[in-house]
Amino acid sequence: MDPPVFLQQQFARFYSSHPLSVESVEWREFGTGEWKQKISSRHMAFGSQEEFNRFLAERAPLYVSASAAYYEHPSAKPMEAKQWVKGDLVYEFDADDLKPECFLDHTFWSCPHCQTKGKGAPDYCSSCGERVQVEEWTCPECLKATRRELFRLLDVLEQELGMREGFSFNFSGNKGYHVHVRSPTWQFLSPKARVELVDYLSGSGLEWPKLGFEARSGGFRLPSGPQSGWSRRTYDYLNSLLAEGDYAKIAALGGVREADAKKLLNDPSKVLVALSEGFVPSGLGKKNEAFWMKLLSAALECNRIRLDRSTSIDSSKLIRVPNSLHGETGLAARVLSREQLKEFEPLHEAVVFGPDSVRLEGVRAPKFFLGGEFFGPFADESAELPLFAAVYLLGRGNAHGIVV
Amino acid sequence: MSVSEQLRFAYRYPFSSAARSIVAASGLSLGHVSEELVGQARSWLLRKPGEKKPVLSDSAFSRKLEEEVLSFPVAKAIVSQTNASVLMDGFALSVAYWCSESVQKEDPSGLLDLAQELGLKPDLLKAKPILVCILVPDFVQAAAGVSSLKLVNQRVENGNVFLGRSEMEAVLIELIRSRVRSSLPVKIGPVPSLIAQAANEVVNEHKKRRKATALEGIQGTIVPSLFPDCMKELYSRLQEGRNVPHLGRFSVATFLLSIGMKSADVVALFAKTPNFNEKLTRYHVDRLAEGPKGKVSAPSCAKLKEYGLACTDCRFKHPISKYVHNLKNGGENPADH
Repeated sequence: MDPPVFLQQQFARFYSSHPLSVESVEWREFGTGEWKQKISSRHMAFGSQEEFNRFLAERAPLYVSASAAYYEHPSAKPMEAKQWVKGDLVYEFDADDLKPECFLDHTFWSCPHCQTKGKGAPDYCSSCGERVQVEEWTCPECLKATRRELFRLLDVLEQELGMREGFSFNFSGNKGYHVHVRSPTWQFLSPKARVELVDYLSGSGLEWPKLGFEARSGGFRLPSGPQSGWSRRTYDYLNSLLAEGDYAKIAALGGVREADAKKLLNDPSKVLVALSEGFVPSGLGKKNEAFWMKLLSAALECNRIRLDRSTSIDSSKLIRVPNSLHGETGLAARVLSREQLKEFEPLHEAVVFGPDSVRLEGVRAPKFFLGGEFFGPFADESAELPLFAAVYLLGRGNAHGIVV
Repeated sequence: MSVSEQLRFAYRYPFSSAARSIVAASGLSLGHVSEELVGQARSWLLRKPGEKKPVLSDSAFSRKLEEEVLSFPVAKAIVSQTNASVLMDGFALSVAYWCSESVQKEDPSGLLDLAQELGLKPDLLKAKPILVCILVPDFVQAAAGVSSLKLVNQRVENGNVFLGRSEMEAVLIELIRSRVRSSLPVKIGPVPSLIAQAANEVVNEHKKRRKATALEGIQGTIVPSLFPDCMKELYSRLQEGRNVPHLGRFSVATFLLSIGMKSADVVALFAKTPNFNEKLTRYHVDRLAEGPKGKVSAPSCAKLKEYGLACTDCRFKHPISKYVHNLKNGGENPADH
């Protein structure tokens, strides 16, 4: 049996017994996807939850997405005829954007030209220079890193931007998480205003002198007065870096010799006092400006929120319907409360299909974790697997077919 | 506010509710406007950015009031009649410049009155260098798109943006611009001949003023080696069959169409992309080339920056300007290509 047919059968069975609930369903545009194509059809609308769920059970799309925007006429074409009313703010985090340390351990490339293979995600083959194909996998660790980034986002949204209501969280169904903000205070923001929020979160367009940070001859000036937002986070970063007193780290970050870093931090307590007073004298001569600018860049890199920019700024974006299935993994885009989010184990708790045994052909996969257990590795072989793992491999394209 | 204060406020801010009340009370009707008033309205539209307000003596005030306050809605009617968004943009900008002089002279309570008029509710703090604080959503809604007012470069804490005097002035001036722009075009019934005639004159005058844009001279000149770096990167990625994200595809397609590449050639460029669908691509490219509102403009550098596609060291404001510059100065003769 062809993988898409098998997957659709499984998805139809799931949707028949697990109705979804989409907030303001009648105001949203929907799109669906098929085998290897997340959105193949859009401009759909549903008048009620029942109508939407009937559609899912009958058509069993491998992907179903809804607009963050609310429209007067969600099915109208072209886009401008839909008449935008308002839109949720959406923030998306994916492990492949964050690239935590473990990510490259379970990302593999292969060259279709010379068949060379390796770990990591280069653009070109190291042997023949041709473009390579990259296969990404996820593990509990990189999904935890993605979740940590989400909590960093929440800190900034709440403490700095004052966003305090209307949050809804869900697992993406594959490599990350989605945050929806459904609050009238924010839903009417213009596209440009949304870009400003994303720029703020990601530190894009940040100009240090405007925040009061400036490398001057003989030292480094910091903002005076109450610290806020980016200046507070930058100050905290520098303070903790200098307090840590790791000369080798400071030298590496600032692009100077370790001896220069030691000279600067000759008396760490004095440096920290100077930092709090707004001017740190540093006898680094010509290297002074470059040194401090590099430390500021490190502060920016550490403090910026690494989110998927296009999801947040594209007003016509369709995003996975919460609690729907992801066609590439068969995992559910589980809606989570903030408390649930803290402990959520996606590769276990987002599994929806059962343990019934299925025989697959042509399975190619490294060792992977799913549903609380490890599987593989498999080298183009047939294998007997529980249904949830079979759906996962078929959706990803890591198995050729099913033996019925 | 006394009547006299209301008149002065209306003169300073002709878009305000005070000015609208005065216009309503005057019984002004577009069908019966005098030639003199239309002439004054036309001067709103032909005013150059930065042109200073005349200093009015008290005796001249009433007369000027009529010319300025009453001519403002007439000017809006004329510019609406041109049906040219570029002229409406220019008019809104010109009004904002015109008002900026008054904004800069306001005392803090005057700034608050104006802010209120513009729908903003700042809290006055008077703690130098901070003057006011504004809620974050109000600030980004008002100031988005103004590079000097980027949120990331402001003092932000606990849902508030803390602004000094000059930043607050800049926010108000931008709000004036957007308030005027969003009020255009105004819908008018049968167009009085004086208004229609004035609209034609304004269009013709602007045509005369407009220098022949460099773009007109480069239509159809496709020299990829002289593309700005941002477009060069996207173009070569497409040529190599590498994936380009949606916004990148949009940007490069609109850029190529703007410099005169034919739709079919743009579609062919996308043919090597991993998920190429010819029918879908042709549909999108055709819409960009000839949509209901005409050809879609290529995004500016500011937009490309928003998309994360801009070159960091580019000093130009638009990739087409950079391309035109490269064509003229890049050492290659476009005629050779």
